[in-house]
Amino acid sequence: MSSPSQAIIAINIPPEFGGRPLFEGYDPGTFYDESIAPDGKPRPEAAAMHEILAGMPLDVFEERRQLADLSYLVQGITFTVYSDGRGTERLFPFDLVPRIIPRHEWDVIEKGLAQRVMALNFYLQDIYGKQRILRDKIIPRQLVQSCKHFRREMMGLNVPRDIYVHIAGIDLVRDSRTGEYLVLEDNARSPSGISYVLENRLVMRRTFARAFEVSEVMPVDHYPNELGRILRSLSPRSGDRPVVVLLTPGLYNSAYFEHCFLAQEMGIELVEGRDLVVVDDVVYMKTIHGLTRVDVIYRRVDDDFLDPLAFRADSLVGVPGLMNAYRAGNIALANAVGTGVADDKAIYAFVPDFIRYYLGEEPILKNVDTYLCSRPDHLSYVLDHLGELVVKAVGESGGYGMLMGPSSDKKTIEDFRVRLKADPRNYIAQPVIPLSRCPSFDPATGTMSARHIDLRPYCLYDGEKVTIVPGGLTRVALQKGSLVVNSSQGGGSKDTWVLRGDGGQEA
Amino acid sequence: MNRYKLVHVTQFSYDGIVTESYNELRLRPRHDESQSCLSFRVTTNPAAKAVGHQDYFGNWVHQFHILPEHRKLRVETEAVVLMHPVAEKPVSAMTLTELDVMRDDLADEHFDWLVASAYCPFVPAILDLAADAERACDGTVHGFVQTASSLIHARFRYQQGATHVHSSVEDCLETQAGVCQDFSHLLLAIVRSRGIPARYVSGYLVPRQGNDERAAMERVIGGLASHAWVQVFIPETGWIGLDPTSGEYVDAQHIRIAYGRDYGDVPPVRGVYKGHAGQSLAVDVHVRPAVDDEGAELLLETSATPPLDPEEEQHAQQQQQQQ
Amino acid sequence: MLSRIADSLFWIGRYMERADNTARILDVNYHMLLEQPPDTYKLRWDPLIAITGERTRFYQRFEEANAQTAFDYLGYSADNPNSIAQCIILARENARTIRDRISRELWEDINGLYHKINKLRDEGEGLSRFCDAVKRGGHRFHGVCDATLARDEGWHFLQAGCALERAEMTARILDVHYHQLVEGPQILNEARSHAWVAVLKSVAAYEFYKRQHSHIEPTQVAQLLLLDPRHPRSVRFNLGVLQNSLYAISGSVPGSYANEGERLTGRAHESLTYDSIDEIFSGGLHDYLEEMQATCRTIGAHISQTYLYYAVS
Repeated sequence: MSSPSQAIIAINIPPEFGGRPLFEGYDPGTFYDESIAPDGKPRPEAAAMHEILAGMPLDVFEERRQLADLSYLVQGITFTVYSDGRGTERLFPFDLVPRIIPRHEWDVIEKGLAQRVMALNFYLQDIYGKQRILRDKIIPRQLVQSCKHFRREMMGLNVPRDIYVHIAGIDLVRDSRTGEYLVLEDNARSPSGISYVLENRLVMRRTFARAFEVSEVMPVDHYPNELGRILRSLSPRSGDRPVVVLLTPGLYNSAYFEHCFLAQEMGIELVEGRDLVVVDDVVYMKTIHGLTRVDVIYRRVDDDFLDPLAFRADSLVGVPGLMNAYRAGNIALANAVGTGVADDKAIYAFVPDFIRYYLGEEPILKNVDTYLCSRPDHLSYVLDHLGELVVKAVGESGGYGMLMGPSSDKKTIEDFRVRLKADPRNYIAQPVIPLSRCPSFDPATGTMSARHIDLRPYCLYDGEKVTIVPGGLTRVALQKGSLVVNSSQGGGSKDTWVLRGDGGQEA
Repeated sequence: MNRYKLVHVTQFSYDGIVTESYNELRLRPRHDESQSCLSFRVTTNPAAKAVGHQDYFGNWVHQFHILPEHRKLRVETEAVVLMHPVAEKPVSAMTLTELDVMRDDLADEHFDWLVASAYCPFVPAILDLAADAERACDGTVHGFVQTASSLIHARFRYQQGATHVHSSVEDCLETQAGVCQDFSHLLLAIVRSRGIPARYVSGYLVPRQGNDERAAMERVIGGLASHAWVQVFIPETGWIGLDPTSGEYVDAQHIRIAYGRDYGDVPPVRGVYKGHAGQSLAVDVHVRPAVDDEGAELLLETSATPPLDPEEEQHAQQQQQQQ
Repeated sequence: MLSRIADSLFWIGRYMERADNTARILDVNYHMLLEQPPDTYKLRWDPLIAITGERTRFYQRFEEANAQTAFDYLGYSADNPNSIAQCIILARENARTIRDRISRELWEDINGLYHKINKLRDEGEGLSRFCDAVKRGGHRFHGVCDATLARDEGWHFLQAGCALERAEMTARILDVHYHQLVEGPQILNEARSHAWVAVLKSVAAYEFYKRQHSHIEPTQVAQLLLLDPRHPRSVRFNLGVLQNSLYAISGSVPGSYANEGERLTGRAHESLTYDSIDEIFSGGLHDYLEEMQATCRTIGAHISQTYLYYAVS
């Protein structure tokens, strides 16, 4: 991907922006600010970058910002929003102020995530195998069996190398009250967004080269290589170079750009369901010179649509017979089928117990307190406190099916009350976490403002160890005061820097 | 004497050419303490090799695929089943109130058999029927399920075509008529909504010889000897079979194929294919006492038959288009 | 290479070529008829509809073929799967799915053409500007392909698509006009020669023809459009290009064939190489052209069956 030629680009800078300092009037407020310490001074890890930004005239910053936007547009890095039945292509807004994590904090996050991903895998292996955890009554059987994404077809099926979740995106937030990182939710099906992490870094390196010189930021671009290595290692066939493909639902999927990007980066074929055919329980792709055997599928198609013979018969993007090949042990799928029984939002509440049960360790990263509406006592509490809580549908992601109590009107709250009573198992509730904030540029005012953020690191599991590219996707709620960071709900993203050290004077 | 030979023929005719057809059969009778599947064979035309595995509910699934172009598909399964004498089970006198105390334990043990499903939602009319059954019964679990079964038999009319294969209980509640599949779904919904585990059973009904009312009705159903009924779990007794189509218990005439939460888990034939063609379906089932040494072998095999003649493609007058 | 990707490239070639050819015949006819008395309109627009194989659908919608209805139907109509706009939409859809497999320049070019014709429609531009934009788009398409695409298997599928479509279109154009001009209702000599000029212009062969012949002679026109190995729109030239691409894909050597598509291409190319125009006329030009078009369709079907949608067994 080349940078757009600067010569042909017209930069429009509103004249009133002039040379005003960017941080004029910046108010860190009462929330935890990732850049500015309570004493008003930059935090050690953010100091170097802050100095560069604080000394940058607005027009220079604005020029860089527009160049960055343009490079996303030219490369067609867009996602599709479905609102009126027709998809519209939009840019995922990118904020140039990086979120900076000092090494000592990252070490904790990394250990905590590794522990969690290991536990999720042990749990899945157990649920689709001996179900020890159910017999030991650590988690109610009913809760597991009632998961929308519990796949009965997976019972007793041996998955290659016993790995279920190869790729996990675990959403973290920092609680302003304690400064502690909490796990907000697990994404163990097919988490997307890694392409933004890699692209954001590319754009930042071009835009703020000097900051990288002084800040010692840990690299992220080894992700595709690492993912490629893990995928190849899953091949059920020994010997030959395994054939790995990325299965996409196609052009109209909101993450199609990411599918193209990852396939290209890993040097693997990007395939659609119709490119694959199962013959005698072996998967092949149709090439102009005949069938080529496929060993590993990195699939970005949901379970429901993966095999119309086994799951939804109306799926046009799946591969009929794929589950038979999977059962026969002739194909590896990443992630495995049925991992949704691990990232169900009601199951989430039990993940700390999984860590204790399977690893015999205390969870390093805590959960957000969670009320299970399937429990009558929790349900009645939730119904009494709807105005203060966040209510989420258990099987949904991307900010859909969610109630933000404090910012919702009466009618919305009453709608949710009806839905909750009708189907309590489908909902959980959590207290509203005062998310930490990070300086973000507000194009409307031409100044920096504090905006709420979260963090989605991407974890790769190869059966022995968990590898996490330092940082991940920092999502930012660009609306003032908003706590919702999902791209479908008006969120943007930031580059995330993990420093080799803790920043400041040392090194 | 109680050894039966079952021949089940399913024929699909497509309006046009189809390819890459993948299919699953749930037609092999279960093999357990009360019935033995002595032999089972799948034959298809065009020829294909059927491979079997057991699903989550322990049912046998045979899958096969036909990749080349074809316009027709014929699937024939043959099974020989030995029915064991049904031992009288001591019937538990547990009351519904006693059952309620066990609710959580039952849910843990029998989750799949207790929840509403796509075909068996707990709609208000179902809850009304459950209330009627509870009022009319003797207060025992056993009495309740029996009453519910008779109630369906009494209030709903057996009528082919009143519903279709994908109808949920709501269609049947509206028309007050249906077939064995609908009546089974009704009974499942009623007893599950009352907290009693129950499962859908697909199978065959051996037509009874004789001239009584039941034999007459079974001949109607028996024209299509495929049948469906329900098993209910009664604590201290175990699973008992109820046939809401006849309103009675099941017996050694009921040959079980598969268990599921509802019909959706156990369709006899399920498949997908490529092609823009519609399809029509014909099913023919024969059940008769097995003769000679039929069923002496316990095997699974496939016989080959010659492929259909490929038909000539239509000459294209217009400009070609991408497929 | 995945069959789907080869299929997309093959059809990008075909649809772009189809759009270009349709624009050419529309444009030439339009300009020619500007100088004709209005009562010849019906006579002269009808063959165009015939060329595109759309007669039945067209007359279900319109009572008569005139400049406006022909432009509506062949230019923008969404009901006509072969309208210029539809061809460009389909070419773009194919390009979009394989964006990671073609050059960025090619994607931007096809995408640009798509946006351009939408803009022309929104602005209510007439036939002439529209056809001009499409023809220029066609030229740019070939230039961008030539300058930015690797010469791999994908390239050869694209080439094969262009060549096959162009060969068939040239045969169609010649067939329909010949049928109308020679075997159809009598029209004035002057008008007839005018019409032959239009035919030559619609395949960009007028200047080339004039360099070799002083006056318009149907036999010579047919000779050029069918048999001339030098002109890039002649049937023979294009079957030669097609043959080379098919060889490159299968790896077979000249004089042999690896599949039915290659065999038929080779046979048709041989026939165009060694048949004389007099032989062709004495056997009946129309029959010859009919057979040539049918051969092209059969070749297309065989390429599809061999490489793109073959039956798995």
